Amino acid sequence: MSNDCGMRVHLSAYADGELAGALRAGIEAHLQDCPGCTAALRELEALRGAFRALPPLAAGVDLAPVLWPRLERERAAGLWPRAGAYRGWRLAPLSLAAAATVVIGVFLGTLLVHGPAPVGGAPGAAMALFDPVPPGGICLASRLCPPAGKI
Amino acid sequence: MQRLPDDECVALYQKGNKEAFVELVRRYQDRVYRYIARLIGSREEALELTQETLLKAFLGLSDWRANAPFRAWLFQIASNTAIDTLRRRRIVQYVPMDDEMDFEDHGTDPERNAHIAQRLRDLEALLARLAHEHREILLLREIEEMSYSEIGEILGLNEGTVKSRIARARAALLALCGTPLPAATPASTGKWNNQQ
Repeated sequence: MSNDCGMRVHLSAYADGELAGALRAGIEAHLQDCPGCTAALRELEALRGAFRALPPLAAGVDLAPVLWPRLERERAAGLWPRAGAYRGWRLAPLSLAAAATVVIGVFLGTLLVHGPAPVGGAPGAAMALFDPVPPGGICLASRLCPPAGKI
Repeated sequence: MQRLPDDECVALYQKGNKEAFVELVRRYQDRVYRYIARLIGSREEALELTQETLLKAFLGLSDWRANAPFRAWLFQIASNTAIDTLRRRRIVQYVPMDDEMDFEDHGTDPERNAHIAQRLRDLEALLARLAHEHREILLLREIEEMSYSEIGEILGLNEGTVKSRIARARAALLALCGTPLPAATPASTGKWNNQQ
């Protein structure tokens, strides 16, 4: 590529019509006085011309009649939904999971509010594990230790 | 049907309209084919990959929502299908980092320009020698004439990166055209601007 005053990226975008406003105007003004950038722009245009001159490639067959039966087969195999078919059923697992989560949540919440009394021991005995002094420990500061059973 | 824009054809196809399917296939099969053929360098394989691309696209269209143009979505599938094939062949060539290669400047040289014009006649062969990322982006820009924003959607790049990558790709292709290149002139030893 020709000497482009360090503006290669802008020149390339300019050639593509992807520059606007002040940047575009600046490039146009610069091109008036800079033979290096003008030559660089010509190279880009030559490149574009070469691409346009490439022979057109074509598949050479009409693929629609080939593909339609394949689409039908794939859909019949059940891996893909038929176009236009109702697909709400695909949300069924998600809906079931959400419903189960709500039911479990309500059940656990009910247990907390109206849960069965702990088996054995005084009410709240299970919470004794979280006392400042663990069960069986010796209380060295009596003001920190509530009387047994009062939690 | 031929006058309907893509998104309307897609909407009809989604309702089960076969004519819309036929129209979309006929509208895009050659474009996808030539894109893939030049990306992978094999016309025989390209036909199979074009079918694979279209099949994937139409099977997935049941879920497609018009938040991206159909064409960009189709070419995205084509790009991915092609790169998967090249990876299987293990011949894909990556550009180090994001276009961080530098190419020399060579001033204005009529002899070199004539040489480039001559070499551009072998453009297909030169394209095959380009790094995959450069070939891909040049095909989308120069052959498919897509905008920077559309190319960005297809390749998952922002527009600034598209802009700099296209410039790099062109420089790489011109460098291939110019080989062997004449010595750089004193006035042309500056680095190219990599900023977007």
